[in-house]
Amino acid sequence: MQQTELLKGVLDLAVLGAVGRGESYGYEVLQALAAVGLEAVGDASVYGSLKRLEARGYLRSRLEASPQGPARRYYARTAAGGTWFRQTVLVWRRFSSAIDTVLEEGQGT
Amino acid sequence: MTTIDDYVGALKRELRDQPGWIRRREATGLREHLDELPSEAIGQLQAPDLYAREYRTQLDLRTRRLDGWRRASWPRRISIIAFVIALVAVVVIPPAIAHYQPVSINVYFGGPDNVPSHQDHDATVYSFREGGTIKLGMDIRNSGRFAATITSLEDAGELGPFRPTAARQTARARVDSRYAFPRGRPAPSR
Repeated sequence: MQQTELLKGVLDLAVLGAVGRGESYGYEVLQALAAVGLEAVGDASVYGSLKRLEARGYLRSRLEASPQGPARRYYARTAAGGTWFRQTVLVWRRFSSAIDTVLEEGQGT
Repeated sequence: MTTIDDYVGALKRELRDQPGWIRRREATGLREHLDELPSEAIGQLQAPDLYAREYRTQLDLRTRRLDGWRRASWPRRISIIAFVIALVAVVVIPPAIAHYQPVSINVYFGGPDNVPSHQDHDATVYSFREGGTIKLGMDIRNSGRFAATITSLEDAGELGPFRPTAARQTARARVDSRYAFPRGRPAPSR
């Protein structure tokens, strides 16, 4: 199964995690995901996820002029985004743990 | 070589079922995003159509039914409207012209009360003495909005003595000065 299919349900969580507690821009988020092994996630997915999270109020963004090149849009979590992130991390950990248990049992038989 | 314009164009096509303001917003946002990518990263992106499709799946956009009218550009819409108007005109105007008849005629006949008459089958026959008076009158009424020129009259058979056959409102009615008289005044006796 493709990595992207497994990521469908948790892409927003991964992107929100990659944005971190500070500020990050799109390409930086893409590189952060690739650095931890999620290199199959395309720029379109990451950028789309950022836009969706912003539309839902989980991220805010600002455009900052850059002396080296075009202006860069920085994203940061909002309070609502932080709350959603913490709640969803708990859900993900329970889910992941349950899947791990099932997989280990499946491998043991 | 694939350019940022190719990606923006592909996204506009992918979002063609969306309102114009959403297409413009997303196209502007994507251009801004791609502008900040290093050139080597642009070269590693998917093909524009695939990129646009993947991006769209990430957006919370409701799919709207595509119909020809929404897809059409403004020049095309104007040509469609013109075609429909022309079609309606072709269907409606010729029959309307053929049946348009604003002019009606009423012919009346009269004479002294003491003119003897008798019925001959369906007809009333009047017998006039020499020097007797016969009064024949004709009202011609134009109930239309335009001036009309009566070009001929035909025998209307059972419907009446005459029927205008070629009254059209295209030209302003011409009045023969020999028969004209001021409006509101009685016709001169002859």
